[in-house]
Amino acid sequence: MSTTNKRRGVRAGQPEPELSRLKELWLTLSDDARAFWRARLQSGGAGNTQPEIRRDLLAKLKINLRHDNQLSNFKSWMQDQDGREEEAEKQTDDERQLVEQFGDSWTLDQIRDEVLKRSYARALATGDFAAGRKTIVQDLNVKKITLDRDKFEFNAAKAALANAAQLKTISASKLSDVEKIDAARRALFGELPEDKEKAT
Amino acid sequence: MTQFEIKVLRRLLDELHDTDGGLLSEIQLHGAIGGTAFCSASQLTGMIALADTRHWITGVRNETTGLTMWGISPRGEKARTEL
Repeated sequence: MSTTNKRRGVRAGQPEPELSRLKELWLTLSDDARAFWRARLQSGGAGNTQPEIRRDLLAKLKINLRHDNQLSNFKSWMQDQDGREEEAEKQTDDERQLVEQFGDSWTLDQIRDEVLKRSYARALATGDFAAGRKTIVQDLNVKKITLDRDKFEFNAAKAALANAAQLKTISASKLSDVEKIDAARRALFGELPEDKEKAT
Repeated sequence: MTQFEIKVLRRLLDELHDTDGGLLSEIQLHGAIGGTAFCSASQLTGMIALADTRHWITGVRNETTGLTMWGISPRGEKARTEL
């Protein structure tokens, strides 16, 4: 794993914005240091006004936020990141528990699907619709694939019944297995577009 | 690199870019890019390893929980515009 510090793209020769520097630094702070600044940001009481916090950020972390709204933006970003970390830990716990419980019978993808479904349910329960939206997309994709497969199986069974006699003839013929499969597919579903192109 | 791999990497980098300097875990990334309907868990692990090798993403491991979360690097931001 690479260990270089992570930064957003900054144009060559341009100084990195202070807010970006603070976000980058935040991710490298110890849990204790984060707890200290988090408490101050959330307090807002005496000694913790926005100008006072900005002054201390400059003194202790060398981050010079010039405006209160930069601090408000950072606080909002920090809360988002805290939420992401909290949910990531819950998902990891869910995955660990499911592997212990069903690791012998479920595939990794089945376990992952279940973890994401639980995450979706949590997002909806807490009203975090932004997080839930992405999981909904995943859930809908899974349902669409299942529905497509069901439709295909239904159509295949219907076509097989309608062409049962022809399939019997193909099966009894002296064609190779590959040729039989190809002939059966044509009998059930017709010519492929590329076959039609070849014919013309 | 196959077209599919490029598509997975593009989505990974887009999602990390959208966090505005934040981090996402592998499972969160999987959910965000379309889940197992889009790519399998093992395919995603491979793509994350590839992006890490190319220094497009950076892993930050929490020593307390052991959980690794991923962020986009400046190289990743550049790659994102070129993929």
